[in-house]
Amino acid sequence: MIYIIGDNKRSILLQKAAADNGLEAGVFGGVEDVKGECDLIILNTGEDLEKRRAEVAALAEKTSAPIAVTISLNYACAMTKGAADKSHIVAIRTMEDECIGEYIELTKTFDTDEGVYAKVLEILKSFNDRVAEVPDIIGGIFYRIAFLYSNMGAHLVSEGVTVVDVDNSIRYGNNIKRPPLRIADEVGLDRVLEILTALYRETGRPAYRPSPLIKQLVNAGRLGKKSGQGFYQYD
Amino acid sequence: MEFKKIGIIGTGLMGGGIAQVCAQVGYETVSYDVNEAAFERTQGIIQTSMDKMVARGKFTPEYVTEVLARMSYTTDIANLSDCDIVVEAVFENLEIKLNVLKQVEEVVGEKCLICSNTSALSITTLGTALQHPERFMGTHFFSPVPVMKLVELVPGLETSEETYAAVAHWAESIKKVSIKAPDTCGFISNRLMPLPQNEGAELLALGVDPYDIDACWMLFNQAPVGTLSIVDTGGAHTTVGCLTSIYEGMEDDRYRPHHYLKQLVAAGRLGVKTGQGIFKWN
Repeated sequence: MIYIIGDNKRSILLQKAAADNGLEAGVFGGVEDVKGECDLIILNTGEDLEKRRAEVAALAEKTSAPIAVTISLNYACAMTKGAADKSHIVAIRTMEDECIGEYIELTKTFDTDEGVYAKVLEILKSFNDRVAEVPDIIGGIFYRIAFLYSNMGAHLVSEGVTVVDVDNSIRYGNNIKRPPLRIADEVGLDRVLEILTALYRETGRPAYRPSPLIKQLVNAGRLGKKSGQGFYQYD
Repeated sequence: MEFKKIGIIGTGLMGGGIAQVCAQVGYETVSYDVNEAAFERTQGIIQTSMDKMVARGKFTPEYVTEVLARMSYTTDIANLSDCDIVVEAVFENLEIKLNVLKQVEEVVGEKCLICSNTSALSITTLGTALQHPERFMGTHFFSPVPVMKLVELVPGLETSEETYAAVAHWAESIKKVSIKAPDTCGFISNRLMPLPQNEGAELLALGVDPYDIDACWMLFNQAPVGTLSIVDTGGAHTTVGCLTSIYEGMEDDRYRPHHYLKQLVAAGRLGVKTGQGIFKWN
């Protein structure tokens, strides 16, 4: 039995992926809903660090079951602060809400028990095509590589290249079906900016320095598909 | 402007491919090279490429015969004199290209357009070889040319609007998707492509499994090949060279080559061709 805490799209998708592979999984609204025995608890409750630390600490107090905390731009270790017993806590990272069941990242903390880690790995492998075991680095694999083209694409647009030409260069020069500026619009330019800013601040690597154009678009409320306009116009 | 006859300087992979796609849509082509022995090799590559299309049912043998009949070869550059457009596609060396472009302008007519096919060199600089740089611009075809749809079209400072429009029309006629690129190091595609490769190298240095990086990349982008596999296909030296040229040419620190890639080069792990790079290759 897998408990998934957090009533949101990703939780539903995780539940579906588990169910599709014959695993029993339930979605619950909060930590207080956890009752009885289970094999794994996935804590998937938003981005507020302090709130999540409190939830992790409460869960760790309440159960000895393995706890997998979803993270995106945090360190796995940051989630365990305040927990009395950190040995049964790991972190997982998905591609935002995409490719759930196809790819997931698993990260241990300084304190994760090896047996717990192996058990979580086994469970994740049973309903994900690929489980990437990733060291505790900011952004994991996904966030570090996902928006590099979008960022540089925005720089090129600032230099006078058209949005369509940037996307066509990737689509027809690399045979990539999802062009970078279209992806950025779909994910949301505010989210892309948040990701790039966090990576640049934490790693110092210049490739993540956000394009001024993305900042301008966000400031103008042009957030991509969800607002009707970003790099592209949407009806 | 109507094109009938296309001249191609150089019979390597790029020159041969450009000649092939031109002949496939009905243009007469004449390929020039200093070395006659190169013709047989190029003709063999083109024949093999077209035979594959016949085997797949895309081309008929009669069509292949017609296409090959439209392609001629010469070691005398004067035989390019009646071409409507000449595409220089020799080795990526500034001095050699400047010299070839001068020779081309001496033999072609005044209305002939001249292009340089390059992935890295400044088009404005190359244009200085010519008396009339307004009829000159850059192209960047992707390998293999008959397969890859993209061509970057790069006007130099002196390129006229008429020249750009005519070359864009020609690119469309040979069934390519053209994009207009600025005359800066790496144009568009090469400023994008090496960034995930360089940051992928940072992840490798941090202990991440390269197979996971490529899997993540391919899945999210719906890409046929992983970004690190591309490094191994060309060799880390190619990636380092591309990064270095932009890093130095534009003084852009985003392109500083990662030490992991430099280590691969130092160790001679150049990917597919040496059997080992980021991955092991059989």
